[in-house]
Amino acid sequence: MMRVYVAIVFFFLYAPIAFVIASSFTDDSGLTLKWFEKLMQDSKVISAFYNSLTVAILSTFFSVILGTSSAYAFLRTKMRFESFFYTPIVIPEITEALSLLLFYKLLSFPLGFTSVLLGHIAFNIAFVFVIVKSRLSGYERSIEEASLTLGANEIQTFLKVTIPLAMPGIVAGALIAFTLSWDNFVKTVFTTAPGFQTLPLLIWSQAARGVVSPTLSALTTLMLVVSMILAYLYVRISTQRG
Amino acid sequence: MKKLAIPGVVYLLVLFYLPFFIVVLYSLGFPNFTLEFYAEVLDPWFFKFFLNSLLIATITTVLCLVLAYPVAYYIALRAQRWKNLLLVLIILPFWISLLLRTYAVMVILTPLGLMFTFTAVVIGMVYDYFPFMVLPLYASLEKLKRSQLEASYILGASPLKTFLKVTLPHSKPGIVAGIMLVFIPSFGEFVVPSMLGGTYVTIGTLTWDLFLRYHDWWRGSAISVIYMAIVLIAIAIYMKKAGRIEL
Amino acid sequence: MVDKGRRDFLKIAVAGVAGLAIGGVSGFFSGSSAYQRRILELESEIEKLKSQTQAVLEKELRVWNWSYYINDALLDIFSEQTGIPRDRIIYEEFEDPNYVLTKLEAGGSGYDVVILPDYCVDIARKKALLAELDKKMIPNVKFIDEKFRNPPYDPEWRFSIVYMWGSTGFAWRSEVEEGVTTLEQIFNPDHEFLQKYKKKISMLEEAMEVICFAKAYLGKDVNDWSDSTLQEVKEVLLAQRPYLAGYMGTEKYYPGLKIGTIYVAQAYNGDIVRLRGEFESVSFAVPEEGGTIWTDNLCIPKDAPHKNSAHAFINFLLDPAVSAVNSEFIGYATPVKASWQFIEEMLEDPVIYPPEEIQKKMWLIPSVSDEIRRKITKLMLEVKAG
Repeated sequence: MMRVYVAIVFFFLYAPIAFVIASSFTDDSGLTLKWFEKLMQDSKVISAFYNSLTVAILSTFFSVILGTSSAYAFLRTKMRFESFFYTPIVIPEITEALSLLLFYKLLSFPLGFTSVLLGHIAFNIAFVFVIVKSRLSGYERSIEEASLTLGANEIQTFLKVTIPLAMPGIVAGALIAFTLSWDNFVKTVFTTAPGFQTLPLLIWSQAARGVVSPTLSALTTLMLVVSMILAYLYVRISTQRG
Repeated sequence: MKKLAIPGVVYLLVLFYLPFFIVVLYSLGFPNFTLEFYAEVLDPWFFKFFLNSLLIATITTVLCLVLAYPVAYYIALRAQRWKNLLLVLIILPFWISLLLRTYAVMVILTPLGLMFTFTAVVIGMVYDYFPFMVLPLYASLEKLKRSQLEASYILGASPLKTFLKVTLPHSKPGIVAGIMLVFIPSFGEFVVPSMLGGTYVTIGTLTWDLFLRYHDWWRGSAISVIYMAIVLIAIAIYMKKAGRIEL
Repeated sequence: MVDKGRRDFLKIAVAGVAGLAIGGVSGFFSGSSAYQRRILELESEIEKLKSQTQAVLEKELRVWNWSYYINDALLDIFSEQTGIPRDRIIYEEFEDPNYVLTKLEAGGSGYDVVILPDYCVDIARKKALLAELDKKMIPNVKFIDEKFRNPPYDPEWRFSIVYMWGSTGFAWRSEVEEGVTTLEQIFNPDHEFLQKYKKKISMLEEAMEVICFAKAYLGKDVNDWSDSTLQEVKEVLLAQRPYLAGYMGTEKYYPGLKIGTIYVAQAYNGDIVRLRGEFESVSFAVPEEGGTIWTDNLCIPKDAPHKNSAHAFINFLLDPAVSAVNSEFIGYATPVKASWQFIEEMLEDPVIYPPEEIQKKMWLIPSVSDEIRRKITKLMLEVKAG
């Protein structure tokens, strides 16, 4: 029963996607692979892709580290003012983007890759924090206390006990952080400089004219396929090991 | 151990709160000083924007919660080997640009005659925020061991009772996290209401218009600060009342 | 967007035509020797300036423009002509010119040339965000049609030069058999049009466009910003609002018209020319009461790091041959009168170049003070809140 429901949900999730995928294989005269060919030749799209990927991976990496460590500290020491970490979620994105821009200008900080990355990390820390904290809050301290009693020091406990416990939360947080970074438009457009473009910037500038080149849909399709393959391979490998 | 939090706190202080302070200065009329922009909040049109946002955020969150819970449950407790793959599959659609996805939704909604209705906005929002509810719920539910559930059945509890007394409480932190990650951002959302809702206005569209269309940094900042204050205070009140059990 | 074969052809075409234009402009000015003397003067001026400016061009250029708004091959040609390496010419596209203004207001964008619509030039000029243009480096301005001289938003072209222009009017799908001919259909609730197409009509997001059209409907002058007029405008807009699908820019009404989400849209003609290519059953016209003549303008931000290259680029785009090729490629109307002889078929398309009688009724975007701009903001917010 539940399996049916989940299948239906997936169907609805992917229905609009199917449309995007379809448009990457068709043009006025029917089925074609030409958009993929054009994609390979379009250096602008390719460099934007790498930029997006780099920023997303790095911002995920750092925000997971900073968010997880903070979540753990707040939880275990029952620190107050955790709303400190919620504000980045509350703020309207345009406000945040412009605040960063003004900040960078004030410091004469050069815009580009770094300025974009720093902005993404700040935002993602909050999301990771919330998810990891919720994951860990159900666990009793007793597990960790047991570890400490058995002779491990705090750091060892953290690495060998807490982190594995938190892992599903970390994975969930990482997936969300990556997605937010990868698809981010508002913050990026206002903290970047000429010469550094990400994929959403390309897509939005074209959409502003009403048409998004099918080359971009082709890229999207490619990404989806690659991600699915990678995820599948991961499952195969991890189950073989385990 | 408190020290573990230092990197995160420092980072946010420098790269979030300092910039935000600049916004607060603008809301006070920088380079001058005035409270007139805050006073304008008492204008009736502000409330309309605020209430619209509240309505959208609430409905989106409730629907997301109801629809996502079974999916998260399934992935966490029934899927076993395929857990991670399913998680990735849930989030994959969201690696496609929001714009492309929303266009696609538009294409689907148009023949149904649903464009520019409140329903369209809700559909678009739920679609957009779905994984933000699934993932935290999953992270929480995953803690539950099958053995715990089996124990509950062995002891004679019905599935419903098991759910209410075992599963639900265990997933509470996840529910709260999911609500936070859906309700709050959707409150300030601007793309979906703007593209699918036509004349539907929200705090998100208002802030956007003020900063970008009307180049009014003062009012944009003031509205942002007020809106944020309201939400943060509401969160603080909730946390006080609910105690610290939840998060 | 342009494959290699077509690129090469265009290169030859432009080079050849450019040669014609400079050397043979005499064909354009008919007759008298006074004109011909003038042409010779012009040509030697251009030659002199060329040798002057060549010496001090920076080896880089950064441009920020709308998407689908230039013939890419021209960038290659510009690179060859000036010696600026092609990979140092950064050409990027924005979604919304307001982003440009916002970045400039915050302290700078990093670009050398930006293309801004008229209302943005007005704002940028008032906020001192643009560099004053050195006309000596842009001799090709002489080729621009008089209609665009001294626009209200930038008298004497101190900060901007017209790049392309067009008209704002209404677009409709073929389902709307009666078409849109008068603003009565758009603003009068008693007229059956609004009822018939309820929630299928959109107006532009840009406040100035909406308000000026409302004023035209009321028979008021476009420059009338009195409180009483604004009050009337507000009432008209509030009465219209329930019938609208929304206030939409290109990114919404373009797919909207295409899919059928919207039947009628207040629109920019350039978009409709592009839409026509994809989807035949759409038409466009400027209503009889008039419409806006909008312009997109080449500007140099105050903080531009490569101002000389910027001027050279602007001058290049205004070359009659270049502008002709560009205009034909992107489907927009060029203000460069000297180009018109090369693109006659475009001149005959009423969607791109509106007929003379209509043009007489049309207005350029007015320039307004900060105080009035604030009033307009408030008005639109109140209308949007409903």
